Amino acid sequence: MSALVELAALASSGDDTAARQLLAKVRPAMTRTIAAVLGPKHPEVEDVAQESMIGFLRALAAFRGDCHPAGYASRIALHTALRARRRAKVERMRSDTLARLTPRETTALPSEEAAGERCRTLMRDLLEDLPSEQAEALALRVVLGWSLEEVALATGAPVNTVRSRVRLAKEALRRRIEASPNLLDALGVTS
Amino acid sequence: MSVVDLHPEELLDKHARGTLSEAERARLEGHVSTCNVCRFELAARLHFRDLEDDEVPLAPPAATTVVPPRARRRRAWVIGLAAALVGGMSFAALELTTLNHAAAPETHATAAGVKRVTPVHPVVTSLPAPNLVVESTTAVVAPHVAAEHVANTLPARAKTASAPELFRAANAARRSDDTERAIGLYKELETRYPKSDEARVSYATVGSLLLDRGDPRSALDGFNHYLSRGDGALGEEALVGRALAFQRLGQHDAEVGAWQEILRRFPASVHARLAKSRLVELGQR
Repeated sequence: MSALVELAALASSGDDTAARQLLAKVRPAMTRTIAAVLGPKHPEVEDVAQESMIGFLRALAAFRGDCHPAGYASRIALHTALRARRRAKVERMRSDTLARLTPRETTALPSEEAAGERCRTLMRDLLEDLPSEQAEALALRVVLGWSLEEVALATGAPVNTVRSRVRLAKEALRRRIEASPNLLDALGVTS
Repeated sequence: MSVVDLHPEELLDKHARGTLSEAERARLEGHVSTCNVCRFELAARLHFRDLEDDEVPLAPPAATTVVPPRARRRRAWVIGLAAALVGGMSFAALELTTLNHAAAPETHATAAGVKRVTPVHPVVTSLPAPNLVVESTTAVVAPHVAAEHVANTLPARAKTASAPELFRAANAARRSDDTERAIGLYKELETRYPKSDEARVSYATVGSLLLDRGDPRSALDGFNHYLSRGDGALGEEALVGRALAFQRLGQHDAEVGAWQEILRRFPASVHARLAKSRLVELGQR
């Protein structure tokens, strides 16, 4: 990790070669994060990746090396993807036509695959609507699998604050789950 | 489960890391058996991990791998992006976004015709999350190569250049560090096609270039113009650019307002730390 932190410092100081190498290292993690939040078939995945990488390079000046650069990049990607989802939601509300830009899976899927897609879709829709701090905490944990401590470190918030954000987000999640009895059945999640 | 129930987050973390003791496993299973939320969360974690395994490439294919057309386009896009970014870390790398792939033929040609630099050797890095292990063999291209190619694909400009063509030419000039020409082309784009998406992005791009060139006053005009047209994809970045422009102009009150606006509108912004730091330096709490 120290080598990547050094690379980040060089990139931040204007070293183009270091910036290229750093981007190559962190891009897969950023792409996975974006695809997880938007869905891999979302038409804006590539655009959001581009926007995220710009944001990452611009944010390097504030990077202090207290977490992994790819984790830092993933967090930026997460924010960018969440913003994109919220933008898309607003646009969907303005125009039914734009709703087609966020396609839902309509083809028949094997039941297990369909359940997975419904599960992910519910989570993505929830992330759109949560306050940003809660959305970030929940996404870092569920989508990226980070621990409480890792989320706290990345966001600069105390662990108990993160715990509180996650608890509030999960309360919203509980309401969504209970409002979708078919989803519970499909997932085998029974009351 | 009631509203006040707490979820065993530490046990969920240990479950994710595979470090649960038998007693902890029993506790977690007991909780999950009565908590739909945590049960759902465990399922969701698995489904998102499945997504990584099945649908999202963990690492780009090696340079010698034959890739299908769609994958090739995707890589071309990313390579172009990397070239754009390291060629100035500028907003204008968004050209492919804004142009909605209208520039596809040129873009593809750019990627196909470029000379690759030495590939980065495969590196495995340990990330905070165990499912985020990165293994990358990405090759990137020298920015000037892509820029030159894009520049060469531009037809005789003069009176016939479209907004996308002007935008591409401006970006190519920017990547080649020909800032003067780039700004000139962006300005021409703004004049000739003021309502185009390309022109809108160009305001933020020019602002960034002018800021880097040491002209914060003109940069401010660009950022303000961009922001005056409502929230765009670069809204947060333009706000940061505006705050930096105020800083360099010594307009501290305006700078305070700009940073505060960023924190208000984007409280979880990756620039929040910088914003807070500057506000402290400016005597704000």
